[in-house]
Formats: sequence, structure tokens, C-alpha cells
Amino acid sequence: MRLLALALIDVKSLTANKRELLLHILLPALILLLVAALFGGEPALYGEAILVNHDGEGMAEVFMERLEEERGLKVLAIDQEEAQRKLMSSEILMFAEIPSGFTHTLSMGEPPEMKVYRRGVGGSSGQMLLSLYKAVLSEMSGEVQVTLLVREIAAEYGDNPMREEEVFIPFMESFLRSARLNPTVKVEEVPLGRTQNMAAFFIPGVMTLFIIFTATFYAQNFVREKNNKVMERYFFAGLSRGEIISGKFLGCIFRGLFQLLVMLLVVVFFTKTFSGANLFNILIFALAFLAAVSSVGVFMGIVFPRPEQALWASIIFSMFNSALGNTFAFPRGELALVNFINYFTLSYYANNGLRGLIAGDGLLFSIRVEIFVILSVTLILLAVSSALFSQVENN
Amino acid sequence: MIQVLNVVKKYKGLKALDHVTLSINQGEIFGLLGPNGAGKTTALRVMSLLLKPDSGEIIINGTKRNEKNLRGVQGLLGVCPQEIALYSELSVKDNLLFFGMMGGLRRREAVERAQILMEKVDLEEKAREKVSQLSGGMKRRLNIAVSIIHNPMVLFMDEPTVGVDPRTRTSIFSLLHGFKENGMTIIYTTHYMEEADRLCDRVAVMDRGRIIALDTPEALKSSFDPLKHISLEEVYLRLTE
Repeated sequence: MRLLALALIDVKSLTANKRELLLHILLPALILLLVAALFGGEPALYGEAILVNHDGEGMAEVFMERLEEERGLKVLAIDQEEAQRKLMSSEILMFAEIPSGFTHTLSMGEPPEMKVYRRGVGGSSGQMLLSLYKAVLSEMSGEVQVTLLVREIAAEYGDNPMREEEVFIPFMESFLRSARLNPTVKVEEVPLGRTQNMAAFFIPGVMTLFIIFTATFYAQNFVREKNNKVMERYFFAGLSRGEIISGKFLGCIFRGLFQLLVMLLVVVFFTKTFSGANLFNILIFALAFLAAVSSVGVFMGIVFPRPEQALWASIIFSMFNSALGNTFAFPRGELALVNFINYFTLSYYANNGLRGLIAGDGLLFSIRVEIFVILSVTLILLAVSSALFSQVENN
Repeated sequence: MIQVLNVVKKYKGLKALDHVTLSINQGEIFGLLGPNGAGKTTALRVMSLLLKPDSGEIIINGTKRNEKNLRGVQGLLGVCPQEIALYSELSVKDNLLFFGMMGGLRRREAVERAQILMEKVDLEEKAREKVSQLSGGMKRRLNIAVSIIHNPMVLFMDEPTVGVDPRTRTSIFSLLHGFKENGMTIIYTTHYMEEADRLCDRVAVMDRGRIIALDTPEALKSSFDPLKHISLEEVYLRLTE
């Protein structure tokens, strides 16, 4: 009972301060809404072909149509100056230039030329676009060459050139279209979602970031209570050190829980990222993670003698965990050290767990490794905190 | 009520308490005087069980301090720190209720006790106000009230009148006299000799971790000047020079 009262006093302190409460709830809700709005649909770079068309003739138009209609890309034709400005400011990572004379070259059966401007390798989508450009160009070039060859053969047989408009051209068009639609290699496309859901990637990251910061931010409250002797009052109330640590740990969880529930509601109502089936397990897992970072908060509160130090520690811990831990990006494969350090961040397990629940079968068993690590960290840190707190107070 | 027997406490080899022995009676206001670094606060913390002595014994209400009975004995004690040890975002009443319940009172008992104490410290009208909105004097009075919400037998006070205006100081004195009349033992550290002279039944003057004089203020003054024209401050200065 006293343990619960000790835990709830932290919630009461939070709710008594209206401004802090507003920030505590509104800020994460706003950020989540922003993420949902920004990444809820198709990502901006995905499938957007930026082209500068200097040719302006038939083959260039066919090239763009095929990219759009047959490859499902969004083609955006802009002028050279604008394309270069966007590339210089990294607004886009790549654009392609269709040179003047493109139609003429291609119609003559000569290899068509395109120039691609890019930053670095043009990003992952840039590399994919480049492959598509090459494929379409090669396809068009092949068709022209086949057409020229058939025409040449027909001429040798003395076919009436007058019939070209009526027979030859419709036949070739039909033949080539059929060849395109029935390629020798087939890849079956199985859609698993309405659109690519970037929100499902970013929302766990935002949630873990707020959970980490809120819980570790609490460390400075702990230090203040130590310094202004509120903790001593607990001793005289007959509370053991273990009870104080447990009460403060629970208090930290309750404060975070308040925020966590608001974030879950926002995600459920505005993004549909969590469904009814996995929501409960997501809540349970998020609570386990909240407990882990709360133990970090209590540990920091015990270790640091001044509130400012505890605040900085919580900021650095939050930044470290959000920069790494697969929070907003995966580290590149060749960065072995970064990948290794990644395992030492709590957010790595939290993000993997949440994403696993969102994308997988939604069962906690499927993320048992993440749960094991998170619970182990909680227990170890609470044990260490309890030992350190005793040493500090009992010297 | 409290017996301190041959207690030694060292910090990094330096003796903060050097074989201190004293006895404090029930219902007594006992003053610990001395210059900075004399060992007053360490003595207070050892007596209030916050610090473990390196050697020697502490006996409270007949019970010897050891790790096993620590929790039982702690309930008899109340400590009023120099700092305002309160939840600043909570109201006066909520602070009293919370610390009362922490001290083992049931909610109804805590409500009754909070009401009595708010009247005693003259904060009844401020019951619903946040601590952060109170004046310095009000905070000091509430700090004392919270320290005795669980009705302890002994109250330890570490310089409770530092930085306090004369009106608040007088109201704190009258509060302490009221507690004494109810049989509470009060152990008090201060730099103000006039305050100790006025308030304390007995005082111990400490210097470099040792007790160099222990008696009633009157007796200490008589020992230097039988006609008692001398003040306690002069006694203190002569003792510690």
C-alpha cells in the first residue's frame, strides 16, 4: 500500500503541474501525428522518375509512357535548371536527361544515349530507377531493331511498301506489345499491403524515443529528492531502501504509462498501424521496455549527485539510443563496429520487438529474445541500483 | 531517551566524531552548538540513525542500534532537515497526507493529524495551496509539521532557523515549546547562541568532533561568571578559541 502511494505521488506531482503534463502528453502525440502524416502513404522518393526532356519527340514520349504505364513509376518532367537546383540541394538524389536527337538515334536503330546526374549512387531508389531506365531503353532499342530487320526482310521479298501502313505497322505493334506483356521470364507479384507503410517503421522509433526520454528524464527528480532530503523522510517512515527503489521505479513506470497510453491511442486512431489483434501484445511489450528504461532512470538518479548531471545523462542516453538501435535507420552493413554497438542499445531490442509485433504474427513468443534482454536489463539494473543506494546512504 | 556512548565516526581518516558520549532525556530540548566542521550535523545524523558509527553505541528508548532493529526504531524518530524536503507541486494538505501515510498512518488518521498540524503551524487557510506558492516562513513551518506527522518521540532539527525572518523564528520557537509540552524530545543544531540560550534545556558545545562542554545554558554561563553577566555566545567563544 505504501509502495503504491510512493509510486503514485510521482504521478500526482506530474498531474499537478499542468504545463509539464501538457508537454508530457501533447508533444509525443503531435510528433506521432506528424510522422503518420509524413510517412503514412508512399514515400516521396519511391518510384519518382525525374526527367529533363530535351528531345520532345515521339520516342522520348514513348519512353516516359512506358515508365509510367508499364513500370508504375511517377514521371516528373522538369527543366534542366530546376533539376540541377534540386540535385544540388539534395532535394532529389538523381535525375536523367533525354538528349535532343534521342528519337532520331533510336529510330535509326543506333544505341540510344541518356545522361544521368546523381549525388553519390543516387540513393537506393536511384539505383533501381537506373536499372529500369536501362531496361526500358534496351527494350525500345530491341523493338526498333526487330522492326527494321523485319522491314528489311519484307523488302527483300518484294512486299508492297504501300501496305506498310495497313499491315506491317499494326502487325509489328501487336507483336511487340504481345512480347512485352508475355516476357520469357515471369515474376509473380504478391501484394501484402495496400501501400508501403513507412509509418510502421517510424512509429516504433518515435515511441521508443519518447519512452526512453521520459523515463530517464525522471532521474533528475530522483536526484532532487535525494538532495532536498525527501528520501530521508522515507527512511524515517520506516521504508527500506528496497521499498524506496521499488516505489520510485513504479512511479517512473506510472508516469511513462500515462504517456504510452496516449501514444498508443494516437497510433490506433490515426494510423491504423496497430490492429486490435496485436495491440494488447504491443502494450505488454512496450510496458516491459518502459520498465527497462525506468530502471535506467532510477539507476541514473542514484549514481549522479546533481540534477543537471542526471539531465545530461538522460539526454545523451536518449540521443545514443535514437541515433543507433535501428530507431530511424539501419546502420550500413559494412560498419561492423556500429552494428556491434547497436546490440548494446536498449532501443535496438525495443524497435525490433515492436516492428516484429506489427509485421509478424503479433505474438510475444516471436520476440522472446528481445523480451529476455529487456527483462534481464531491468532486473540487473534494479539490483545494482539497490546495492548502490544502500552504500550511498549507509556510509 | 537517547544515549550516545563513545561514538567515533571518521571521514577519509578525519575524525568527525571523536569518542562522543552524551545522554538526552525525554521531553528535553537539547542543543548542539559549535563552529562549522565541529561535527554537529554528523552527531545529529548518527543519533538519528542516518549514519552508522565506526565504533561506539547508540541507544534509543532502551534499544541498541543495530541493522536488525533499525526499521522499528526509525519510526520513533522524526527529522526536520535544513532543506525544504517537500513536494513543491503538491498542496500543503497533500504533503501532510502523503508523508503521514508513508509514516504508517491510515488515511483517516492522516487526515485528522494533518488538520491538527495545519492549525498548529497556522497553515489551515493555505491547505489547498501548492508548496511552491507559499512564503519561505510558511514552507519552514510546513517542513516541521511534515517531520512530526507520524507523531515521533524524538525530533531532530538541523539548523531550522537559518535564513528565517524574526517573526517566523518566533513562531518556530513557540511550536517547539508546544511539542516539548507534549513530551517530545527535540535535538537541535544551531549557530545562533541567543536562540540556544532561549530555547534549550541543555546544550553541548562541540569542537573538532569532541564535546568540550555539556550543561544547561545557565550552568555554562555560571561556570565562567557566577553573576551570569556573560552571554552564552561569550561562553561559546571562550570555549572554542
